[in-house]
Amino acid sequence: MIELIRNCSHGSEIGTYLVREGALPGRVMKAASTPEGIKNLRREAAGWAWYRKARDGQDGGPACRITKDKNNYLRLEIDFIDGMKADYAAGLEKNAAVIKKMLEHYCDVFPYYADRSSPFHGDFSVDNAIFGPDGIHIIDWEHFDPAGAPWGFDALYLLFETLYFGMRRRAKPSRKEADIISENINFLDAGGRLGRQAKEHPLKFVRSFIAGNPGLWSEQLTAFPGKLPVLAFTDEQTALIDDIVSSGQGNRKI
Amino acid sequence: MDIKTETVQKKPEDIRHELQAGYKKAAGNIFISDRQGYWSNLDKDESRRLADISSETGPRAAVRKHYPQFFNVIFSPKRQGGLELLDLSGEESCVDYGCMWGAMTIPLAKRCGYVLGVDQTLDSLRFLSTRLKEEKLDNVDLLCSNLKSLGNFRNKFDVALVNGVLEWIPESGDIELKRYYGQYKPKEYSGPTPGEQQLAFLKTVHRNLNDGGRIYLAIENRFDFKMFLGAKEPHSNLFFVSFLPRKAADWISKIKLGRPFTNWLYSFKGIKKVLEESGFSRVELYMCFPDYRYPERIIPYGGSLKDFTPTISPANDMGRKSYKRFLARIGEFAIFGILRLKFFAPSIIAIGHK
Repeated sequence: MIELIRNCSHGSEIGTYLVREGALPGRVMKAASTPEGIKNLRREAAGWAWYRKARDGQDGGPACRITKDKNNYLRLEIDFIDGMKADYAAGLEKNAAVIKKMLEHYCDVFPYYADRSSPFHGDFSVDNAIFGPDGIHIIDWEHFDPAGAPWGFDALYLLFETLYFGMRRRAKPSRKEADIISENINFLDAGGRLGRQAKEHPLKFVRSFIAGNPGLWSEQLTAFPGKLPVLAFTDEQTALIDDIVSSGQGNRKI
Repeated sequence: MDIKTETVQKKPEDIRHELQAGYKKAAGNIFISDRQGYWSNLDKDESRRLADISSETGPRAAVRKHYPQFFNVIFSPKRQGGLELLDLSGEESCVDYGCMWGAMTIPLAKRCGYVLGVDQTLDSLRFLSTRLKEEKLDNVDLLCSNLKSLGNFRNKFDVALVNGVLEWIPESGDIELKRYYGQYKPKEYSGPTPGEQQLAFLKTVHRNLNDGGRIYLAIENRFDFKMFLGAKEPHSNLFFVSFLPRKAADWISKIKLGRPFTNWLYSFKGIKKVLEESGFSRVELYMCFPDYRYPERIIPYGGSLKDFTPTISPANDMGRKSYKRFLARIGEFAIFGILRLKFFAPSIIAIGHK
């Protein structure tokens, strides 16, 4: 029994299905028949292969298989992951513990190469993490690039995307939110792994990287400008948030 | 419930032989019968112009420049969301009844061995032919013919697509939709009732499938919740006619449009019944949200709505928000997310097995 659970969402050209075996979910299937969709599904397959290998020291995790690749049509299947998702829209304060776990996972799994680059996920969001009995699983690898971003980009993106959803119509973050970001940036920078700009102007760094590398998201930023919510911060908000965060003591500035 | 069925897959050579023997060959891969007609969102001059321009500039550029309002109708990858329900092996011979500009024909051709696209409007097929060239698909033939008189293909297909077509089967004469939809155009119909004509068409579809073949039928639900909340019936632009008794719908349509209401829709139970009467032995039903043309969610009718989230966007294709869409979204969540009233799902996909 097949169920369409997501169809070309956020400007993608991929259909996502749940294939049930009896009443139980068996596997997730993704299909595309446009050049854009196929390119991103190939990235997804490469991302899962890399992720599986990268976390091999832990448990290997679910597998992804290309099951049809013919005539400009590609279909892949991913083992179903049993677990829970947090609510990304609840914002930073309510997701503080989730974010901490995701960042620890990021530091464990994403290697830090000599040139400061690292594999790139491209949508490292609370919504793309499943917490199961065997640990955390990152899903949706359709923007994967094996060395596409400076180390820490995905992790910083996670912080600011979640901040965005929590702030909604507020102009600036709360003290608590600023503290959460500061603490997590300090955690990520252990051993000086973040570059100078990433540490001192983290939100500007994230936004600049996206602006300079839109191709990593294929055509999705054109098709769906809201794909990356951090782009919705104004320049003034960006400067203010960076100022608060880089001081490392958000509560004094607010 | 396993939807995959073992079929004896038919070779496209058999079908091509029938085409060459029974129809006149026009340009490229288009065959023509003596029973053409016209049905299009565009008027006849526009259709001809679109086909001509497409062959010069390419179909995407032509639509984007001259008819941007139809770009998503023709090219959106969302359109193909339901095809995975067929779980195609890649070898099947398929027929797409009422293929028009190829919104489903092209994604279907990428998933199977062969497709025959059938439509009564020659200029739509000329346009589709340029799309096929652009996509470098050589496993598709096109037949210009009235769907009601297609009789040469007994036991020839593994899969038949009837996507948004059944409700138009009872119509007669040329239809330029922009000059017809919701407009006062008096018309008399004679002969069988709309239901009888739809049944006869489905019997032809059934006959043209081989043993184990399947029909993919997509249609709006007669009891789509939106039509109870003030949305107009999408084929006639009239209020209430889909769910009212057929005679009452006729009466309203005759007053407002000068013709009876012929675009009969069905409920889940009704579509199952008509498919079974046509000869299909087993029918699987799916609910489509927000509709079958651009589905966001497709859920088996026997499945659960436990995790249902609204699918109606507050903004239309052009990004314009409206309070009507906002209210529809709230209504959708209340009816399906809370009350779980499957009976009122907006659209139906039925997979029938021969």
